[in-house]
Amino acid sequence: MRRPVTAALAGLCALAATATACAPTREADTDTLVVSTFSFATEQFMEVVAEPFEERTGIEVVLDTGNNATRLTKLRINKERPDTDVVLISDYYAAIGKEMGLFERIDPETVPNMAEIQPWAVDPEGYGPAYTFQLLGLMYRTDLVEEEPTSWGALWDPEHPGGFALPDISVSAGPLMVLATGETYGSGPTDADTGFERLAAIGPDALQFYSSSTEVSSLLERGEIAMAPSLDNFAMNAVEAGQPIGFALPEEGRLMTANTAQIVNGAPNRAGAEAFVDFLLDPQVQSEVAEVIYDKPVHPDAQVTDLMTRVSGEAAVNPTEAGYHQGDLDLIAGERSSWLDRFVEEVAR
Amino acid sequence: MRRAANLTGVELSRRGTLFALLVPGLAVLLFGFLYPVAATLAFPPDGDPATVARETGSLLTDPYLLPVIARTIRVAVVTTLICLVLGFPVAYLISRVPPRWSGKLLALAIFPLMLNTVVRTYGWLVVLGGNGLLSSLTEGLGLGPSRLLYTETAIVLGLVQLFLPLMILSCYSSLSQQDPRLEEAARGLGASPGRAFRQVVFPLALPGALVGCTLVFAGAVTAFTTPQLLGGARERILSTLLYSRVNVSLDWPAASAVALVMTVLVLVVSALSSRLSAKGSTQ
Repeated sequence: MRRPVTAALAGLCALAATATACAPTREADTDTLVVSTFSFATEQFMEVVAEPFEERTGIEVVLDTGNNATRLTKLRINKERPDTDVVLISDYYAAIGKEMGLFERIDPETVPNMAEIQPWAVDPEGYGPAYTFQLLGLMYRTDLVEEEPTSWGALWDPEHPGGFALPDISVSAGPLMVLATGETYGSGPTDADTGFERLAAIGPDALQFYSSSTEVSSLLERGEIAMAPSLDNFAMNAVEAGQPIGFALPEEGRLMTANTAQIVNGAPNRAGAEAFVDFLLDPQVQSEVAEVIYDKPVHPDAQVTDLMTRVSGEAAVNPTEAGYHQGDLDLIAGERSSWLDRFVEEVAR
Repeated sequence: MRRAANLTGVELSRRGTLFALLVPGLAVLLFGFLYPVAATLAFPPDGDPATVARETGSLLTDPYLLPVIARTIRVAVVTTLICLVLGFPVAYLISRVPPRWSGKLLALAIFPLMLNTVVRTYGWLVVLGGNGLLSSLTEGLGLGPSRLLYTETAIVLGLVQLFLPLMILSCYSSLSQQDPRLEEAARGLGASPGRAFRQVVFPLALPGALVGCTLVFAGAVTAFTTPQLLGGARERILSTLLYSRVNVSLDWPAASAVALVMTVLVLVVSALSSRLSAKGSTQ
């Protein structure tokens, strides 16, 4: 009787030992850099960003991929013992992360390229900078919509042909659309009440509230809808492939979203993280990323591709000059629960 | 006397060995499954059991969310019933054909399981969309265009296709162990085909059918991609609500509340099914 119990205890100890061995904590680790990034185009990201960075610094880059929310949740859970150094995350989730105290402020001296990039891309509170941006506009079928729409009003026009879809509140374009509507029809981009009211008026007519770029692209491609508010990056593949897809920038209600590079609070490789953020803003790297991953650059010396200007015009080069802005991120982040409820109850009916 | 005592000793040490052999598996189950599940449900980040309880309370009383729970149950029940009605006869057929055919037919029935959910769901978009197959069919028949996409019916259709193989497999596992001569005997004793089915074949296959129902129900309650793409934001069910709470509002206690309701739903149905199954086998 006694021997089996001893064996069982030994087994348990072995199991516990393996479990601990599997999860070593990184402390002051200067040889590796854990970068948390989007699961989109990871191979290309390795090729044009991570590997050149490894060559230059000798620091090994390990990618941890997933969507914004999943990765932010992971950071929150590991807050006391962070194992990630840099997080590439959209501005909305970055605002939530800042509020949770997950990121560190960056000393501009350690990231010299921050002095060079477009001014809007520098975080006013001193957190990580934006390294690329996406513009909200109307993606439409050029063969179904006769004239290029010039205003968000096209969605409210009862004459508009072919139906439309709206972004669900779960995609970046969703909250931006609330702000854009508020800016167009209400007192300004913080007028969310007007935004929700106006969207509620057309909600029942929307074919679908799309939840991914693939979904909105396939709805347009199949002619199920003629237009949908979306980010300009969604249109790039279709435009490049010569499909009858256009991207219209409304004259008013010009909202954009940015992807930012944040340094994790308590990052095991702080110096490496700073070097990586600076590397990401390097004009040469930004040009290559633009070419391969379609991320519009924020460094003025980086090359904006022809495709980008074909889709978004001059706004692809300098968004703020074209009247684009990110909206009040603290407002969106702070109101996220009530916006979700309002969207479900008022708009998506 | 002495021999008896010895036997008990052997018996005891055998039990001990059995226990020792089970411990690693149990430990994995406890630390790898039960603990994380319980911790996620009761102690989400930025929350404690009290917050989760409060959120669950508001979920169960919110006039906007009660229809979501009702829709989830309705969709899961209808999907399960359709799967049973369609799957049982198929499983019966497969179990009664010659063995060289049954393997091939079974492989054919399982085939949909090997398709990626996203691919399968986009296939439904092509069939159910306004410019899709079904719509052109009804238009051709002079019934006007039909719109099934983004309705509860579309969710049910997608889920039935997704889970029918599970039902067929579970029913088949019971039916294939049944001796076909039992049915023949019933018929030989004068039972009509229907009566033989009702009183012999179906009761004997009940455990498999119930397992199938439980699996399909649990799958339908927790499926995400299919309801999201075929039902859309209007036809929200618990799993899509859970997704928005985790991904949009990052409100983990509220998400735990949804997960708790889903877990309870599945556990209740699973308990009902095992009770029914036990009842069936004692009869």
